[in-house]
Amino acid sequence: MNRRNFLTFAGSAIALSVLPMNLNAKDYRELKKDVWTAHNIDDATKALYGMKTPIESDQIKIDVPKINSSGAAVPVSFSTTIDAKTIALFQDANPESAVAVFDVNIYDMKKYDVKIKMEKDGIVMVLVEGTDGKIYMAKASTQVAAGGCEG
Amino acid sequence: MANKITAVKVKIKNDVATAKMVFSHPMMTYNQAKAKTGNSDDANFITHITAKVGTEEVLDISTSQFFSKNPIFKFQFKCGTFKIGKKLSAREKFNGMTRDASEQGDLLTIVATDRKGNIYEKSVELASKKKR
Repeated sequence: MNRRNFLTFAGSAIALSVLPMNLNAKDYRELKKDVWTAHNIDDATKALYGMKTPIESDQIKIDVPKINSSGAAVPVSFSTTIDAKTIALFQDANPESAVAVFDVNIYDMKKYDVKIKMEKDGIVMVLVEGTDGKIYMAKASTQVAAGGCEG
Repeated sequence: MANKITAVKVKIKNDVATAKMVFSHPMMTYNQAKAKTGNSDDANFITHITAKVGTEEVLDISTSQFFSKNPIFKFQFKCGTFKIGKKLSAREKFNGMTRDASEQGDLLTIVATDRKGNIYEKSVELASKKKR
């Protein structure tokens, strides 16, 4: 490697390492593109967290109505007491699985309420990446009388 | 209807703030876009939401098309270190009471970005009626 090549290489490496520092927000749509196109929960989990197997945990609570009259707005509320780095919300009723990825910060109470779309009956799954590096998960199933994605 | 952040409400109790936000956004999925215009690339949905108090980030979430149409989202954060303003009651406002500058709280700013690159922003003051 000659000197000129090395300098450009080093320069780009520095630029790359500096860039994420400026961006405070973590955009998981850019960082982990595969997550958003994965067609089932397993693939999405692998794309987001690698090959780690999620451990079922009772420290994650999900609240979903058992039966929804419409899938256009299924209220999902979930919370966790685990020391988390990131939290992901997946479901298996729609063409793609990922709904949201939360980047947890020090102010976060890790309690969220959100309304999601579901095309058919399915499972809502919450995955938590703990600060200990392990992946925890909890799931809840729900029924939908009319799908919400055809609209 | 123009897309926007319709409303943000903040309730504060025991140093924990609950923020509830309502968006006006079609949140069109790829399938819906294909059925409507024939081009699935017309899909438009909110992809990222952040909330900040001053320079401190209190929420950072990457979202997908499966949020409901005109989504409602609620989250909680610890606000003990932020300045909470004094909210005037309706009667106090009616009596013409005004607040000092020192009684104004920090602003919670919500910024949402959608797939077409539009940015929506709304700020609300952290305020509570109770004396602190």
